[in-house]
Amino acid sequence: MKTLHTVNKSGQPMALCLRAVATGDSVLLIEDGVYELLSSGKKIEALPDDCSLYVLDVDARARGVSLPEHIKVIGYDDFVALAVDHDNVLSWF
Amino acid sequence: MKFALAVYGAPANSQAPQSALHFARAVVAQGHEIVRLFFYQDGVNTATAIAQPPQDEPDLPNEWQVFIQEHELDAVVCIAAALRRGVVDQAEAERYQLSNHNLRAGYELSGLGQLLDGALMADRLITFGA
Amino acid sequence: MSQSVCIISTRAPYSGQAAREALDAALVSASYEIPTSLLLMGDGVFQLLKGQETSDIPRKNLSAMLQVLPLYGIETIYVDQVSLDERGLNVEDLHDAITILGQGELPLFIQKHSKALNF
Repeated sequence: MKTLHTVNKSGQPMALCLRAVATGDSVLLIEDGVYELLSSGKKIEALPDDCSLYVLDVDARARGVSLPEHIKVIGYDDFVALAVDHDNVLSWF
Repeated sequence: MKFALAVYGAPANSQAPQSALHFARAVVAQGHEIVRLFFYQDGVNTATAIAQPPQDEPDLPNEWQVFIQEHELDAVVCIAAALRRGVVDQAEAERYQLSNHNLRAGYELSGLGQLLDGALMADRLITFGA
Repeated sequence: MSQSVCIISTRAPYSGQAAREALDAALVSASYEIPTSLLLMGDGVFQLLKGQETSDIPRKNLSAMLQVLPLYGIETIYVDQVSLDERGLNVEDLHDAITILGQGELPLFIQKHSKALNF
C-alpha cells in the first residue's frame, strides 16, 4: 500500500503530510508547497529515507525557487504517472 | 485507469482550478478516463459564466468549459456550495426567484453525493484544495 | 475490499465554510451507509471545543452538528494527538465522543479505509 501525498503549502499542509506519511510513500510539492525547499526549518528533512520527494517543475519555476540536485523535478505527465503507480492519493492543503 | 478530480479553490484566490486543469489534460493525454469532476467549496466559482479576467490573463473558467465540452466530461458543481456563493442555474434562479443565473454550459448542479459517488467509482480521487 | 471512507478535516470551524463543508461530506457519506470515519487534524481540532456559542455570527453551530453524528452511525471522532498538544488543548475541554490517535498511528489508520477525502 503506497500513497502519493501532494502538498500545496509549506505550513500546516506540510506538517500534516509528514504525520500521515508511511514507509515507501511519495511526497509531491505543488503550488506554494515548493517554498518548502527554501524554508529554514526544512520540515521535509523529517521525511523517512525510503520516501521519495518530488517537486512540480512549473510551480517551482513560476516562483523562482531553485531546485536542489537531490530533488526529482517532474511535470504533470509524471504527476499522473505517480498517481497511477501509487494505491492512493492524499492531498494536503 | 479511472480518475475523479475534486476542485475546492476559486480561480481568483487559489491555484486549484489551474492545477486541476493541467492535471486533467495530462490524464486525458495518457488515455486514462475522468469519470467525474466535482467542484466544491470555493471551487464552484470556476463554473460562473460572468467572470471576465483582463485580456492579458488566462481565462480559466473559459478554458475549463472548453475542456469539459471537448471531452464530454461529467462536471458536477455542488448545489449547496454553489447557492451559498452565488452560482446558480436557471432552475435554481426560478426556484428562489433570483434575478439572474450564471452557471456555464457544460456543468450540472447536483448534490454532494456525487463527490462520494465519484470517489467510490474511480480508481483514484485527486483533490485540488485552496 | 469493501468500501469505506475517511474524511480528513483540517480547518478551524468558522473562518470560512471549509470545516462545515467537510462535515457535510462526512454526513453524506454516512447517510449512504458507507462506513465513514471523521478524522480531525491541525486546526480542525478546534471544531471540538466545548461551549461554542455562534448566535452572534452568521454561522451554523458546528459543535451542535457534531452532536448528531451518532444518528448517522459516526459514533466517535478520530483526533490527532499531536495537533491537540501543539494547541495546548486538553481532552476535558473537548467534545466527548472522541478517539485519540497517537503519533505514528495515523498512516495505518488512514490506510484502513478504501478512500480518503481531504478537506
